[in-house]
Amino acid sequence: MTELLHTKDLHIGYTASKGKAYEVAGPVDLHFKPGEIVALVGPNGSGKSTLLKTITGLLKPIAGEIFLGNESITQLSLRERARRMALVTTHFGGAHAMTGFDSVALGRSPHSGWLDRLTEHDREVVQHSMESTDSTHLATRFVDELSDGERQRLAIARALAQEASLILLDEPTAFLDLPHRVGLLGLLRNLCRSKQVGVILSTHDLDLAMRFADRMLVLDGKGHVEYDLPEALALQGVFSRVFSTQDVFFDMKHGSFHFAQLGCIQVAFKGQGLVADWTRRALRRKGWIIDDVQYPLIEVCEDPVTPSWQISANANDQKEVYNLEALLDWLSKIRLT
Amino acid sequence: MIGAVSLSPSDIWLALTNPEQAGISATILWQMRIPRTLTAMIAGSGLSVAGLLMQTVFRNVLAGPYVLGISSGAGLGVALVLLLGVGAGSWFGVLSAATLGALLVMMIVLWLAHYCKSPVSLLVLGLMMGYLVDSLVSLMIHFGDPNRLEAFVNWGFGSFGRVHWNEMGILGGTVGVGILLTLPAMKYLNTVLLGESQSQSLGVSVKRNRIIALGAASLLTAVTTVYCGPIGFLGLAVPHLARTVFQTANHRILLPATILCGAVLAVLAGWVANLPTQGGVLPLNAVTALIGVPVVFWALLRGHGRLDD
Repeated sequence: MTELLHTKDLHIGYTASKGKAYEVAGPVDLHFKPGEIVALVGPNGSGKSTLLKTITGLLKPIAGEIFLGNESITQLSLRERARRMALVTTHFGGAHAMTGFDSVALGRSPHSGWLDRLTEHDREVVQHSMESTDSTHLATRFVDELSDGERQRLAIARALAQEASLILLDEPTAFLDLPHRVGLLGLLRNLCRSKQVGVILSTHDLDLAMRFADRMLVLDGKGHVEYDLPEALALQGVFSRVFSTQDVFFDMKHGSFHFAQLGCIQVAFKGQGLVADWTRRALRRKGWIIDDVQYPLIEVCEDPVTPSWQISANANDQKEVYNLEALLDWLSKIRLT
Repeated sequence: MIGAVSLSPSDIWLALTNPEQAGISATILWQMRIPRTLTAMIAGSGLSVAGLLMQTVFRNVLAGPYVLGISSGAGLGVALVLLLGVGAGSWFGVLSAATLGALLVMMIVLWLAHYCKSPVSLLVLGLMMGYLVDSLVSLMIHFGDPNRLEAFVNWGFGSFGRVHWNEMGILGGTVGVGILLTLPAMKYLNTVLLGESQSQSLGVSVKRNRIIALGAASLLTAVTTVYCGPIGFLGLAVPHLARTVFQTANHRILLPATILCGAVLAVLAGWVANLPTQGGVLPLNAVTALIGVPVVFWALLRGHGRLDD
């Protein structure tokens, strides 16, 4: 199967006015197939946007080449590039009195004639793109009256209307609340699979990226680039190395970041099921580390009606509580002694 | 068809169908009113299209035909002729000086546009150019002959009544060329509303089209200012009116809509300026502001031209 996109020894960066090149990162050896999502992650200034701009041709690479299929993008005209690659930015512009339909129809620009007239076929493609992103109800609304989530859907519909095989999104989750972020990434994954397009997105949302991306490209902020499956990157310790600070550490076991709390104490834990899972979360949040110690011991009794927690400070001091709050109160007393 | 002498419908009919017998009313109609109305239509649509182009290129609802200082350039030329008495001080001298001044500023702005990466800095540079040229004009007013000041101030009031039949072709032709120039930039105008990088990623060469659009806007502004003087507010107000009335941001509709609204509003403003039958004509600039400001208010308060984000 041919690769949708690959980069060869690509170095990205900016060229200053006097022709001096400032390299941000490289070499980037990106390659992926239709139907995959690649997430670009990295600290601020590590080159996520620079890479997206370089791939779309808005910036020239410092060195190396970018191939779409078998063709180098330097051989493609702007219009041909636009037929194969769509860019979705967070900037929506001051488009007053622009309707949802018109904003999606702009995606037909690389296909339409010089006067921007829409054919019947163009209208069908626009309609279909809006259906795929569940945004047909926004067709007659004005874009400047919509929420960020609704505009984001229209922007993705526009990218689909462009009929590009590769969609690049710069920080698509930046202005959305958590449920909308999950919804957006779910939508992108479904579109990816059903239409066999490739998606590259940059994000600060590491947790979500690890759940939705097929591969991740980590820019470490020092110019190095890692590209692999999310799980492989976690196992290699890339996330801890790149993102951990003095106070924030990457929890290898749960694949998420935590704020290092002072004076973490170990606690033994027994129990399985929903109540046990949420109890573990509460313990972690309060800075307890679940480990193989003898005491203190917590045993969860998973009763569907009245769950209870059996707690033992030592062999003689035992107690039963019936809500989480009481459990945490009791534990904080132990910590003090 | 309003002016100092009132013409009855039958006078007008006679003057239109049989000018030889109509006498003075035919002269008024053919030598004053019809050229004035035509000038208003041409200048009004030209200025409004220039305003639309500026608002789209700079993605700023406050942009208008004069933001890049082109009318100041024309003013500089006129000041040289009328205030300092360079040249004969004839109407032809005024026209050529205004044209040269407008062309000079236009060249500088387009040259800057070629080197300027961001439209915002270009906008600021254009504004600065305008201030610079205006201050030169102020200096000329200060040092110039006070007796000649009135002629310059009158030019600055703006008027549709200075264009004669033999000049109509140049005005109309240049405005026509300016409007035709925008047609190849149609895709740019529509997509750049989403931002320049988005426009480029939709296959549009932003840099080239930006210069085409600014060039067309400059040409339209220059030619109307040369013949009619600086006419405020039309170019700023009409695009808002067109967007609000036609409820669209698509330039395929917005461009003809702006031409239509610009022509109508300019003719109305011309009529109002000529209403007082005794005291001659009102300054056109005052009338366009009186009409233009409420239009901008209305369009903005209707909601589809909100100033936020």
